[in-house]
Amino acid sequence: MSNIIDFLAHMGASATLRTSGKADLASELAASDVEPALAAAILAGDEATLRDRLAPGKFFGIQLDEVPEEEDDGDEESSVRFARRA
Amino acid sequence: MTETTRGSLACVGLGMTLGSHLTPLARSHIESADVVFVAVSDGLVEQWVRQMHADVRSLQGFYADDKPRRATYRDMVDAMLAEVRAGRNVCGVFYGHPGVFAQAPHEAIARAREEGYTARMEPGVSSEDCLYADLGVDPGRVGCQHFEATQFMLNRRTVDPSAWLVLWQVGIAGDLSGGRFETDASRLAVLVEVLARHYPVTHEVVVYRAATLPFQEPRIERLSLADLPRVALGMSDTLAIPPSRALEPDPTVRERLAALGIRT
Repeated sequence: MSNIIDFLAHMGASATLRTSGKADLASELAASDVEPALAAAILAGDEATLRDRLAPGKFFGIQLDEVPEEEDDGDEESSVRFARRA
Repeated sequence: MTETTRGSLACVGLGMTLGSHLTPLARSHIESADVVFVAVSDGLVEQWVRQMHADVRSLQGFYADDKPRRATYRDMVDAMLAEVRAGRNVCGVFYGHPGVFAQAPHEAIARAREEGYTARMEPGVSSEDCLYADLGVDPGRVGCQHFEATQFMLNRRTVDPSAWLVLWQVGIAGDLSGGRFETDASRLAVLVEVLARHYPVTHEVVVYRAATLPFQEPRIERLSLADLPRVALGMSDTLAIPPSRALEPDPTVRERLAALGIRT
């Protein structure tokens, strides 16, 4: 687990790996101790395989709500409350 | 309570792409906290955060299909504040920028401060920042309006078609329940009707999604406005609409300014 996450973090911070071609990426992966199947997924841009193996399940990315006023439960929208506090 | 009590809250942004955007200050907040709460949109990114601290608690468990999102955000705030009140230094980690399209960080910080605790927010690289880079848009050139998609549909906003228009959370556009995490063709058709008040349906629009993993490319899908209901949209997708008309000069103001001449 840590090997693949470490590699992704390394890749994310490397201008070379983020901008060079797949040959450089393949070379770097081969030199790492990332499991071959996961290395192949990275080279193929197969994010689904990585997530299925390492972080399965649904991840929610919505963090702001817009409930219509008529269905509101009495709370003001947070930005309004925030502005009033400021 | 007038004195700041022990216990603190820092809400930090991770940026959008694993490994690429985390600031040194945000990392320091994470590593020096007593407990870390994390709310990110990608399980691999969450695993990355888990490597930075021994006590990382996911806020994903507060979400559920058909559970009102507002209740989820309240639960997130309550979880973080409970640890602050227990005297711990808490770090809330959110993807992108913790203060952009994110309800819980603003609310948690406001409540913590009201209760006398030290609370701060540290910015992160947001999806908006990535959009500017990936689409080659400079909001300073002709301007850029931003709205939450459902709010845009439910209210008559003043749209300036000579500026960019960006609609966030278009992947849940038209949700009146507050508990859905998807949209559908019929709701998107309504959005197209609203946008057609301001743009020709043949106008090109862009579906955009920032890369969350470093080997991904951003989603940049160009299509006509009329075709929007036919594309699959996810929670992380955004709709960017280029200007459809040129800036309209104001001759009166121009003449007034010209009459003032050049002053040094």
